[in-house]
Amino acid sequence: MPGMNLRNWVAWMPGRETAAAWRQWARTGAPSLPGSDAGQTVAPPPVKEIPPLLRRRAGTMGRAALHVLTRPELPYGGQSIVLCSRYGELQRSFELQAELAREGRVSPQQFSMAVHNATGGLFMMAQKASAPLTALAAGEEGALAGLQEAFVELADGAEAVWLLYCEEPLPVEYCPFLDDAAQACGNAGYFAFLLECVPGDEFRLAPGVGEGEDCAVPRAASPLDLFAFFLRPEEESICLSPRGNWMLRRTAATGA
Amino acid sequence: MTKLDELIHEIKVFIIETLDLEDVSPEDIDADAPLFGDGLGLDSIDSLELGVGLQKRYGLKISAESEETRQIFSSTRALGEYVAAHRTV
Repeated sequence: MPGMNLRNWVAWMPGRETAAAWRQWARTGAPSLPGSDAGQTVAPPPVKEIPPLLRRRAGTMGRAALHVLTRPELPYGGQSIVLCSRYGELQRSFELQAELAREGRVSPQQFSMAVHNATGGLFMMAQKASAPLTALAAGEEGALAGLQEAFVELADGAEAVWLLYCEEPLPVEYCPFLDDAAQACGNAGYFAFLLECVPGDEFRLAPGVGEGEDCAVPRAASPLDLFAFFLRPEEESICLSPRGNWMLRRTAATGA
Repeated sequence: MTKLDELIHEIKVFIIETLDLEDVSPEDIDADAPLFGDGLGLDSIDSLELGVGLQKRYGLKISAESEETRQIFSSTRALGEYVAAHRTV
């Protein structure tokens, strides 16, 4: 499969909004979970670039995603978008179910947004774009699945693909059942980052370990593990999933 | 301010709150302008949301598809007149 280059990226999470802050995060161990901010309310980005009539329907994670999709330093050029989120806006879905149990009916507005591609849809409507939009929820292998989709689209001739990862904390009711080491619940844990992938030789994705490589890790790489790899030019490879030994390799010097 | 004017103002606030209309104040809504399409720019999901909200707030049952419904939603004033005449709450 042909390779890819990472042409540009933008990322957001509460308190870590600049490229410098993200590079610092990658240099200092890249913890995949944020520090505890229980009890704090997260202020979503304002996303003034999206018209109010569309913006009003986005939740906090949706606004984080729209924020990285609308940064002036990374203008949209009509490319296809791959949106990856393991859980999506589960807070909205949970509240809908609670409302259904409580009142026997649900808000049509909330219901219309309770699909995995809703946030991407808002962006496409705001752009009046008709590019392909793929929304993936691939369990713990979400980082790999998104990357596979981007590589396939590039191999299929796409000039660029926008690969977006985003997540929000799960509702507190899920906390006792959580077996996902990379997932937050409660209040902390919003993030969104966008990778502009173009054809190139910088990165190659393939199953199977090479000499000196090890992919016998206990769990698949999370999206933030993947992002940290992109931000650490000295790292040669990352094991994305022990199932099939999927490796992403850096094949040339990169300045990402 | 007549009773109907008061109700129209109340409905404007209700619309803004129900539909999360950021940056819109009751004064921005022309009581005689259409709610959907060119006026406020609301869409079909908003009409469903308003239908559910009107049922909760004023005990109204409005059918989804009828000529009468179009008339009721044609402006905030028309909606106010309908609520005044048919409310059960």
